[in-house]
Amino acid sequence: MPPPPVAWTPVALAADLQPGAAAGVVVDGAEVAIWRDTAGTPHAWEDRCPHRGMKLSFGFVRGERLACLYHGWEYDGGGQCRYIPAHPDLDVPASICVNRYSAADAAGLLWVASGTGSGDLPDPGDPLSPLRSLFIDAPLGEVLNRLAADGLPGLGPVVESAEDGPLLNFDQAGHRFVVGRHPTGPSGTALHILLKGEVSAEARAAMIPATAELRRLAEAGR
Amino acid sequence: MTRTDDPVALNEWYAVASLDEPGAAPQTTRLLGEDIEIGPGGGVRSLATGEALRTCEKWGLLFASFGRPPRALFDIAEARETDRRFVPCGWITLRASGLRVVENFLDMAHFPFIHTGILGTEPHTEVPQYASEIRRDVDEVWATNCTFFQSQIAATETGGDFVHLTYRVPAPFVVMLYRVCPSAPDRLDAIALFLQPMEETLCRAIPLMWLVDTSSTHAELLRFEQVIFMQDRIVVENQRPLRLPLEPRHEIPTRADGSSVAYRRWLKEKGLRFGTTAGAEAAA
Ligand code: FES
Ligand SMILES: [Fe+2]
Repeated sequence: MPPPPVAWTPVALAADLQPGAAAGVVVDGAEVAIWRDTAGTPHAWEDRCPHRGMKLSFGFVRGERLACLYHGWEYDGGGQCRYIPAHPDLDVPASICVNRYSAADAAGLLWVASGTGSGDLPDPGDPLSPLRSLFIDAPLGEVLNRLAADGLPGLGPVVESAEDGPLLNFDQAGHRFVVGRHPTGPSGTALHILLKGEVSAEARAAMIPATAELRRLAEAGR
Repeated sequence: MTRTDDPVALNEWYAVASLDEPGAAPQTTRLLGEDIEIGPGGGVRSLATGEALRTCEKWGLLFASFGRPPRALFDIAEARETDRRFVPCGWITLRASGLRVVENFLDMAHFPFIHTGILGTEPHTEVPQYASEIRRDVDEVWATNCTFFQSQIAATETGGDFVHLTYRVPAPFVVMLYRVCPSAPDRLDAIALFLQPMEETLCRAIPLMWLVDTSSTHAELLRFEQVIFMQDRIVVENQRPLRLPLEPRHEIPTRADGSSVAYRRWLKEKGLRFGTTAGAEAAA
């Protein structure tokens, strides 16, 4: 399986991956398992158990380790297999380890990169309120052009938009939107949308229909 | 979709229909990448070329082959014992390689994790040493002396104990399990799983059981089988790659995987490609 890009890519809203949770994401065609240990530290691994290929994103977190769903092999934060339940007394060989990528929290987003990651992670300074992640069946470039020009449909004119590396920022309806751009593949896009400052849950809920409309329009190519 | 050019796969027999559900109309299904039609009289023909496939009937199933199987279907001695209860289950479709499904069926180490509370329970996760071999005289793979602590072995069982199991792979897409029947320890329940490989990563499966146990109702047995299969589906549809890798070192086996190692070696010796990662390369 191909690894994710070496440039940092936002793959989720940081708040959507709770400590002790695991999830699967696709980054430019690469299947990646993301998980947080119970202390909250994020990890990003190839989504394939070295034993029999089970997707590790189906696994469950046990303290500092991720256990594979299929046979319960446990991997520590360094990706090293530490326990094989079928052979409880076995000293697990050091050669059994998963392929690891880099994971980091920044700007309310969870980021993934191959190797140690190239480039700096953004530091927005102000607090950010998560709005939602949006998965769209359309190429990233098309979705971004639409978003930079018109923002979220029905919320009025976009005052200013600017790309900031992997983020797109724009002002609309009195809010500053910060959008993490995440290509899932050649024709698939995920947007991880946040708002600058403390924005009430009601105000955020009111924007959800506009995000759904953005997806509808982008997928219809109109 | 086109028919595979893998001669090993083409020259095998495959279960393609149950004989107890004769339709008045022809049924369409798929085998090794090609659409086939099963006529009400049991004739099977390719919808791509119109040619008739070889067929035979056994155990209430209709078998078909595109090629010339070098031998007749294997024997299941238990199926000839008339005092047994024959329990044909229903077909299940899985978005997986049939070979991964066979390997899953051979595997005991997943019982406590996938069939939690039914076929196994933590902390009883150890797979005691067992023997696996390719039997050259019959050209089959066997795993013998298998034991595992199960909390509920069959639909009738409560509590838990070590179960004694024997596994048999009589053909690349068929796998069997023999287990000591609790109510008649000198006899073995026999369960066979027949796979119909539709595409490299799509298959249908039908379990047939020849049981000594007569206490559970037919409905209970079907329900039990169905629960087990729904749990295994999560695994086989989410392994990466979906196709079975036959190259050693692509995945990491341990002692508990002895049957899987023998099965993969046997498939590789046969040169089977369909449903394996080698099939994917050939198709690319
Ligand atoms: S596939 Fe992960 S533990 Fe077996
Ligand atoms: Fe299973």
